[in-house]
Amino acid sequence: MARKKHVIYKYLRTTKRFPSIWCPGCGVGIFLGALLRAIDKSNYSKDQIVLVSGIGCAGRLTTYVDFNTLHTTHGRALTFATGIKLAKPELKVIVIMGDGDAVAIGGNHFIHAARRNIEITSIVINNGIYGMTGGQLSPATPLDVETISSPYGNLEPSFDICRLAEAAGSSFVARSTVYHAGHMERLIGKALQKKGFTMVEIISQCPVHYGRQVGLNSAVEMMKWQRDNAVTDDKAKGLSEEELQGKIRIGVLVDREIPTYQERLENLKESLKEKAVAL
Amino acid sequence: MKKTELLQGNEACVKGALAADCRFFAAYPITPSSEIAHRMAYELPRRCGIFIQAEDEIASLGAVIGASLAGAKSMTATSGPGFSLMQEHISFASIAEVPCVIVNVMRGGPSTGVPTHPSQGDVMQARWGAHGDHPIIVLAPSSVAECFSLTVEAFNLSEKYRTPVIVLSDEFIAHLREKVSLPSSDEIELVERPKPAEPPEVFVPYRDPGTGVPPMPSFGEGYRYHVTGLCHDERGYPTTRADEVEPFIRRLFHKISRDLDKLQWGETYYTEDSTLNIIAFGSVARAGLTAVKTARAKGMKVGLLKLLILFPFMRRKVTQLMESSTTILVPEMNMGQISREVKRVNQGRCHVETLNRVAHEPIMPQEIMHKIEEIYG
Amino acid sequence: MRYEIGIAGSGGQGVILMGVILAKAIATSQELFVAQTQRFDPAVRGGKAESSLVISDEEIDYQGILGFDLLLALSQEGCGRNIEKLKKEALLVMDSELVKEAIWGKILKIPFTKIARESFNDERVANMIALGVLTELCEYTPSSAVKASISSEFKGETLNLNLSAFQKGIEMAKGQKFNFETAEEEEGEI
Repeated sequence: MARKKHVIYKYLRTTKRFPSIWCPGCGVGIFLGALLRAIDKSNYSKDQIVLVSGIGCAGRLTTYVDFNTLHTTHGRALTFATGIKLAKPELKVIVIMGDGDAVAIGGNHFIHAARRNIEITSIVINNGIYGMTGGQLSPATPLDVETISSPYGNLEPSFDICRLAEAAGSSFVARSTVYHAGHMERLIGKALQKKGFTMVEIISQCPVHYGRQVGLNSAVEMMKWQRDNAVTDDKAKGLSEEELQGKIRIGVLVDREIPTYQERLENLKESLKEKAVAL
Repeated sequence: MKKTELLQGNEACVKGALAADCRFFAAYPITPSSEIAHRMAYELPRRCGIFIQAEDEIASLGAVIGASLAGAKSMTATSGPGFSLMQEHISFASIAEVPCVIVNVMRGGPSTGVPTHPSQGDVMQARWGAHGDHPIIVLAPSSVAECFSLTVEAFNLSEKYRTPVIVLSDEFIAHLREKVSLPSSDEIELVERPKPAEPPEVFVPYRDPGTGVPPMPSFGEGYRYHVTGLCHDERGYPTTRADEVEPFIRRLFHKISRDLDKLQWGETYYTEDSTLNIIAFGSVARAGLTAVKTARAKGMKVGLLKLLILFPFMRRKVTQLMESSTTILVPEMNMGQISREVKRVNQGRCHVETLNRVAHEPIMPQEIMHKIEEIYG
Repeated sequence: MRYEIGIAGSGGQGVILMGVILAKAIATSQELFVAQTQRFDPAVRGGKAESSLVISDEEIDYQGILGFDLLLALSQEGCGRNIEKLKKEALLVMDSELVKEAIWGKILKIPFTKIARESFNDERVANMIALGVLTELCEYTPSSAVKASISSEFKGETLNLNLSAFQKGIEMAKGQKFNFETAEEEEGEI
């Protein structure tokens, strides 16, 4: 009996043979599956989608998928995406970043893209570590965690990436984990449909560089940790402040109607139309 | 009759960009380049183009590259400190072969330096500032009219070779106002990036068609190819194989160097019988010309070569001049940057003298004249 | 022919604007070429502000200053910085309220700021009065062209005010026979 071909094969590049660069147990592959299923359920064609990534393990994702793909520089994916979206608004621009990529080296671009509320679907795959460079601490590494660059424990508090996006002006903010694959897919689907700057944080695992530092010795253990520590809105209602400490809030955290950059730009173009000069 | 007008150097850059059909401009405010952004902010939205003030210069060039990949001719403008921030993306545009134009209005440095005074201190930054071995094209206007024409040419070269092109202006020229009569649009020849002739199914994005410059589809045109800052194979996918990396990087150089004969953009003055020749660029070339005329009036056999293109360095024209010279004098507003190139190609042909200025004040014709007299004995 | 004009003062006096207005006016002429440059400090108000023009009947090679034929000084510092750049026979015009010391042969002292205050109740138009004087003194700047140039910079009431101040300057320059002070007398004063 012929096996039914999974929907994601429609979107994988046949010219670039796998395996990917990702280590066994990495969360990026699970995320990629969810992203492709969400795209498949949307109305966007492959030609219409531009997938932009930065540098790091997550950055390599663009290599494997059959869209217009752009693998940019470390932390700057959103700047390229801004240029693409403004120059060709009919394109659907999706940006994939890692945690170090998005909020350390790219922190400035991240907050300004959110502030502009420019029509970009952004996804931050947060594994709390720099994987590709060998396991250094990132702005998402929790306090006290020992990494190769914090051998005596991390002295720096971590960012709440969702609250950062919310405060900066993002119209849609959500969080999920790679354990919650179906949930993750639905949230990405919602983000794809929403106008303005949308940000979905995906809690992922790096078993090679992070898990062993915190006593979680396999990808399975790390995903079980995600399962046991994720709290949905419904669940959160029944829990006290103390009980919520150290938990991960998942679900749609912000969903608001605020004017997008494109809307303001369209208004401007409209008002200038009379004065427009022929080139 | 042509319409004459009073224009500032920076304004002429804007007019040049618009004449070249620039559709996208992103920049961060910085003296003495800001007038370019001001004018673009006014003009582009009226012409259905896009202006955006970026959060920094890294973002400016990132957005410019993104817009260019989407098919829009794109430009940014900055000065020294911002130009330093852009180096990361100049490198990206080189390896990913994305056409874009960067105007750097040089001001006194290093660091914040003297923001409102001219300098020519970024010559080597323009050539070698970006990391990794890469080709680059650098143009240097010396008048308001050239701010216009060289900006048009910057777009043309960048489209033709799929490479970032830098217009290296300086504060003196950028803020100079002159009476100019610009050519009308039908007098300007525009070059567009090569487009694929084959359908997407058989398109190989980085295959050398023989010119060294692969055709470039825009995002959204159905070609769905991969663009990366990693060394890549013909299909655009990352590679570490020596037999793919070596020819790839060599192609990047070769696509420009094969046309070196066509890129000898310089103007010579009084060089028919001159034995002492000045080589200069930008605002200094004009002080040089005044000095040459003064020297000629005194019967001295002095000539001038004004460089309009700094890189690739026009060794053909320069060595030709050296063949008939006993001495070459290179005045520049830095500690000796273009003179290093002159000395590099000289190979003992003649004597090379320098005249350097780092006080961020223009080099005066009298100073050059003084040096000429000194050399003449 | 090469004729150079300098305007030196401090930020906020409209020094650069004056240079641009004159340059624009000259640019409308068929025969003449013009190059206008400026020097200024980062401070928008106060600080150095200088504007200079090169006027020529042939294409201008060196765009900067070789030697002024006419210098307008609107601050003591501006005067001090530029007096050494004057050609031998050059004329120095200065705001006698703002510039107290100057050693030069051909000097024209006019209290532009004071006149602006007393006649127009607005010190800001001192620059337009001075511009009128420069226009009248320089043979390459027809007043009609300068007027048109001013009109392209201002609108409404401000334009009217500036034009009347400019006219005042023209008349002042016309109506007076200047007795240029000699260097000796000047030295005697100081």
